[in-house]
Amino acid sequence: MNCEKAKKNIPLFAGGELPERKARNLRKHLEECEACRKELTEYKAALAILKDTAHEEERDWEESEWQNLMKKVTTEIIRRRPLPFLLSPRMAWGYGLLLLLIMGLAALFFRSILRKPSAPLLAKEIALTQVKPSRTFKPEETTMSGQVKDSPFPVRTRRLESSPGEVIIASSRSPAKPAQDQLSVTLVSQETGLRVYWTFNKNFEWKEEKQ
Amino acid sequence: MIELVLRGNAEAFEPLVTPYRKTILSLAYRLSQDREDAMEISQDTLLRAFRYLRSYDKKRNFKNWLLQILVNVWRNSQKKKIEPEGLGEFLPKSAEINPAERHLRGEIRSQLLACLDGLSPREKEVFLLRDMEERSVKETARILGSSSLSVRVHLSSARKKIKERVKEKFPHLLEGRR
Repeated sequence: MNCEKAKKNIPLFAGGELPERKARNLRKHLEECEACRKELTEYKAALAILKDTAHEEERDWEESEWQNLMKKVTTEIIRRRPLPFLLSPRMAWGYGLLLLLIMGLAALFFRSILRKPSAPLLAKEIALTQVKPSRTFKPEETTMSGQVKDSPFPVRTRRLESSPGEVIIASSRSPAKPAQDQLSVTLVSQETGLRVYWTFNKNFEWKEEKQ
Repeated sequence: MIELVLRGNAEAFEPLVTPYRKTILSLAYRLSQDREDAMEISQDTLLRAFRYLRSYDKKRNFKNWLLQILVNVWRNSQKKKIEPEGLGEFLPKSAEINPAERHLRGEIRSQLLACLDGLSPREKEVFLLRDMEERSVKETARILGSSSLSVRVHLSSARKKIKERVKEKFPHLLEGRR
């Protein structure tokens, strides 16, 4: 190694940063070269002076300045303090949905309380009303056959004992008779004598006549 | 301690940074060479340290992390300043220091500052971190966001300039050390 190359490496060698291979070569050169040894001594001395001076001149805060700064930082910490999980903004959606759910349930509840009771279904009313039949069948009449009064069609009728006091007339086609494709029901008002005829065809289309 | 601060415990921040209060202020002062600037840089460093504490990698040395913030704050403050002349880098800044302050600093401080005046910003950063704060080359490179090779190159040139300055301005100090 010559002096020019050595002088390039001395600054890093003085601080111990020169790679070992280069450092070995430089050590060899330093043993032989007094000028480079002097150069190295100057580097080491300059660095030592600066380090010593640096330690001597190390600065510290005035206690009041430090406390003021800490106060400033602390204020920021408090300002940025994370909210508890239940109060964090990410819970807002959850709370919003919960509130909507509660409002919906409350609306349903009060609606059912405040609403006027609706009129019962007519069919239900009819079913619940005990009407005394205008005519009751005798036991021997439980099954009878014949033509329904005022009906233009031959119909077999029989009484069904589905419930006491209720008369249901079921009709069926007589095996001997031709196929029936119309059914007529006559309703007679005992009070006014009004007669209402309902005539159904096989498609269950119907017409009404009143007399 | 860091966890406590992150949970919002304000009292935990002071014991966390107190061990480094001198280091922060001294390095800020050596970089900026101005007391007011040093205070501002230090304050900004600590505020940023708090703000970015959540991103701090716990495997890393906390002091190095603080120094990295400080260097970044200093670099940002440098960008804001307008260079008075193109030769600014090599002009001694001691001329800007008022006589009263110079007197207060004392001779030793002036010597150190005068020696740092001739360094480029990157040389100054490398020299202060490696030789004054005694960070390793690798640590210095990480703090400065550069490579180890770049640190070695700047360190070598910084030492060369400083040695020349010391030799030129204070030959008696070198003689006394030999």
